[in-house]
Amino acid sequence: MKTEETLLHENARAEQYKFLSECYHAPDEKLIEMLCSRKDSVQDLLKNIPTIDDLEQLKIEYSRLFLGPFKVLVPPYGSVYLEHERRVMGESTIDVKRWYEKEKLDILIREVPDHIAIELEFMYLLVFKQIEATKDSDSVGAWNYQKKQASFLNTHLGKWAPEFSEKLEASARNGFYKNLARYTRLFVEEDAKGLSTL
Amino acid sequence: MDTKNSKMTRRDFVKSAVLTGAAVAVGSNLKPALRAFAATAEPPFTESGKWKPTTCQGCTSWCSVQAYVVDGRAIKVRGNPNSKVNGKAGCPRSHMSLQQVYDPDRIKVPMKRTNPKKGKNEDPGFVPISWDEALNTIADKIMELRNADETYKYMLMRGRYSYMRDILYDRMTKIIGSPNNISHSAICAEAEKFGPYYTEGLWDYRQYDIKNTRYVILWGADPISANRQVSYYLSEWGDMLDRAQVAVIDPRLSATATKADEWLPIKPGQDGALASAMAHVILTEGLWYKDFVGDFDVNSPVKKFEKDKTIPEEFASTQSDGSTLNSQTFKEKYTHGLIKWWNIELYDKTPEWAEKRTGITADQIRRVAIGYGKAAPHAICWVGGGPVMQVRGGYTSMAAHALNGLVGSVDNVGGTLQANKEYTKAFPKPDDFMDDIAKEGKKHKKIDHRGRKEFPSLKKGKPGSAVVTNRAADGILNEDPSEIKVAIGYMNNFAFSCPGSERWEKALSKIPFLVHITTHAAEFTWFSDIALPSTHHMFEKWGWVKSHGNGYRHVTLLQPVNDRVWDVKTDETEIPWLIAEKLAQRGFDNLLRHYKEYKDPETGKAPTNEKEFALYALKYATEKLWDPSKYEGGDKLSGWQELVEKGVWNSDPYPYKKRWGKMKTKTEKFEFYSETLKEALTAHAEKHNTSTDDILSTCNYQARGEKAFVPHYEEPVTWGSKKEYPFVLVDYKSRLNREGRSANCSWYQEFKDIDPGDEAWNDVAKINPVDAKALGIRDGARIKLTSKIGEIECTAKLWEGARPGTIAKCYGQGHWAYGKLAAKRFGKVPRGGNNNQIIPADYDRLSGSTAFYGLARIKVSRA
Repeated sequence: MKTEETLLHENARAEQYKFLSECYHAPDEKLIEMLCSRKDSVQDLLKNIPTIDDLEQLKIEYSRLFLGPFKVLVPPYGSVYLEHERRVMGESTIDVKRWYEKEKLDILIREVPDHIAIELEFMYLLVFKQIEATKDSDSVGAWNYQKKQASFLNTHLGKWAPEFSEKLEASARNGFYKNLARYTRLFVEEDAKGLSTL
Repeated sequence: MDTKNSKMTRRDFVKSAVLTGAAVAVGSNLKPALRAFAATAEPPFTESGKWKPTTCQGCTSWCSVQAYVVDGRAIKVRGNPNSKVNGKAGCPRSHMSLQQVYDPDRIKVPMKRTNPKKGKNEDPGFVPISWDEALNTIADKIMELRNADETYKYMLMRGRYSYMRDILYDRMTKIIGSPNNISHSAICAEAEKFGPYYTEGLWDYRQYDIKNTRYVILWGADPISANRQVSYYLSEWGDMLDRAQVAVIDPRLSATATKADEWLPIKPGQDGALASAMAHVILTEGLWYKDFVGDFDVNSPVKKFEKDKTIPEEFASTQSDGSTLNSQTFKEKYTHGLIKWWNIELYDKTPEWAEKRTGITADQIRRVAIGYGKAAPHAICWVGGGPVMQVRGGYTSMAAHALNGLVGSVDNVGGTLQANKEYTKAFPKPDDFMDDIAKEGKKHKKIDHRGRKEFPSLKKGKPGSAVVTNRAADGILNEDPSEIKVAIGYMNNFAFSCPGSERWEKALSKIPFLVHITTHAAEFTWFSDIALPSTHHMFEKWGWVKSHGNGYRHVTLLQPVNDRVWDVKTDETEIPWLIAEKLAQRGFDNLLRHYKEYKDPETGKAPTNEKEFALYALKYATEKLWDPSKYEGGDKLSGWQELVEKGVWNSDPYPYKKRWGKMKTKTEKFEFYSETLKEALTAHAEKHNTSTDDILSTCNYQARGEKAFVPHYEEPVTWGSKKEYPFVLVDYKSRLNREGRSANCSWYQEFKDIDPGDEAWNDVAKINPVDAKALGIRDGARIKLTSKIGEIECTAKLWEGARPGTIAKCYGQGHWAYGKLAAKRFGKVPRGGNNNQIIPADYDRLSGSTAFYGLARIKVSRA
């Protein structure tokens, strides 16, 4: 690929990760705005684009799936899938935290480090840094960031996203989250494959 | 494009990605758009692991513990060696706290209900909201009551607590202006305190000097499983068994019974008969402890206790001058009313008489009573909740505890002790901050009916002073004496933990605005309008509790040793402060001004935010323990920092026999004839212009006249006829329960079989094989347990440890809303059944206690 084509491709990846990350935060007006502002392009992937009138239902559904307060149907935490006791803050979570620390990142929001939204944003950031390096003609740097992405997917996000997505698809009553589940799985799996051919 | 079926090529994928990507605001190419992260110059300092002190409140042992914390995350737990109460000892419950704090089903952010309809079949539809929105809503609701002069319609329901409790439970309720702060105490074990209070003036749980004892009789207590100071007793029990005889009175084979010398599988509710017969044996065998109780006068014509013979309290003797003088037949030393007790209750209560009622052979009764009497004064009657948290259980509590008086083990080496002195300090008084609205509001009668003719609730000798927790449901439902419009509950789950739990489901549904502050959303939360996420007591909160054992008392700190994983705040300090701020913004600043009185003793600074408030309040309460200039006793500490680092302050050692002759009873003696109870009961009767006999009849006791003032046997009360409901339910507590809060821990479910007779991932009703055969029920069959008030489903377990005629079933399972693992199918099918759905709401009205045991008659059928 030529540099421009590479940049286009990597930008798209970065934006995809960021987009997915945003979708896994609690829904608010900003999310609806983001989805609606580019309805045509998102429509293809997510089918049902919620409008502002759907916000309350979307919040109820988000709570039921990811937040509780009773039984969390689809815990959005890596350790629940990678470890055995259905708990957060396991050894795998701490490993994720180390990944962030190595990139000199602090978590700003009060959530567990291996929350799906945070891991997706982390992937976005790794791709972003790869792009920066590419632009600076730092091919070694770019290569390193690509390797980090592959490794993070292999040890964390890529390992549990499929099971998580399957569970989400099965549990979601709402079309938005059902399609988000399908798309998350497809995207993460495809991206992992793409990186593995490097 | 159908994302489900299509196979994307990498090129397609990039194409679609570009398309979608256009929708995202990625930020400029120079700076990434970050939401979850912030860039930091240096990687954060990673600390190596450290043992940090805190406190376990998984049961009422309140052990001082240490958590091994690595990088802000607790990974293991052990006893705190600095504590003289529990030391390094731990117990299985403590470890499960790790699974609680890191439970993905925890409530993580404030949430509000979107479904206005309330009921068991109405999904609340909770959605996340900000703390600001939650607190504003709560403050608005409180202000509505204030503006309408209806502050008494505010209610605070307290479950488990630390001693920071008064900030939220007492001060906030009073300053808002309501009488309705309702604690959980009466569903705990208040009747256990009733016996000690009306004999020795001690309204408290006891500690037991097992290092020096020679005989222990356990009345329904199972101390190596549940009850108090479990970790300490677990670590000492084996050594104690080498020195002492142990007899366990329990209709089921408890963990402690499996290690005992004698098991007395009593018929439920007949413990009072057994206690009276044992007292009869001790007296007729001449085994009472003379140094404490005294002896017959040397000149008395009567010199022993003989069955069926009453004894004149006095005898006349001729003096040297020819006159006659009346002398007491029995010269008591540190006790009062022995002969009265004998004449009113004991003289005919032979072991043969008791055998018919208790199902325990006269031989065994005699053997245990004699063994116990011979061990005097190093002999313990350890009274647990089982025999006393029953209708009429207050008298059983007196009867069993009175045996400690007979053998002189009260306050004695190897006996039963009170708590050592500690020097914490109460929070500032609220009085100056209660305005006229508050004062008027507080004058209203409480929602739990305490003090009414039918609820004497005689805590510490004062009529109407003990809470009647479970009655509050009826108060709310019937708006009697008033409607409840705004209520807050914390660390409680009355819709699960109170017998007749269905009444609570209805009562909570009726409250127009209900707030639940909790770590885990529970059945109570289901009916709430706002759910607030609370810090976990052991890892995320400042607080203190006290407990006693091993001859010491400790004051142990709850400390925030972990980083908070979610957006949680502390129930007893931070949240009331934040509510106070919101009330102040609405023109009512009394509560906030009051809270600003809790100044940091080191700097004199008033708190300016909720975090400072939580810390200063704790430093304020514990000041005399850590400030050397205010030292009054126990461990000498150099300052606040040392208390934080050690995590615990220990009292001075126990001063044996110090209370002999100085007990807090009316006579200052150990009362076998309770002048203290006589005074309290008479005061209650006078308040209602009636006789004590009328009160006793109204409250469903059998005693009349003088009998009401001595420890005595009363027949048990059961709900349902024996013909229709042939079995009596024997409810008991698990060694893994963490007070009913651990059912969503996988370890709870996996290790449930460490309770004798129980099974992993299951809820079993234990049936004696003889009974099961007659019913044609096989091991493992699905069964229904039906009482007069309800029905639950569980699994049958054939087990010899259940007394024939009883069904032994552990409390704790049967949650329908407590997380994924706790329910079989969440919101629909509980894992097993909650015993409180088949136990009716009834009371030991003298103590206000809710009855849990010996009360529900049930039938068993195949499901």
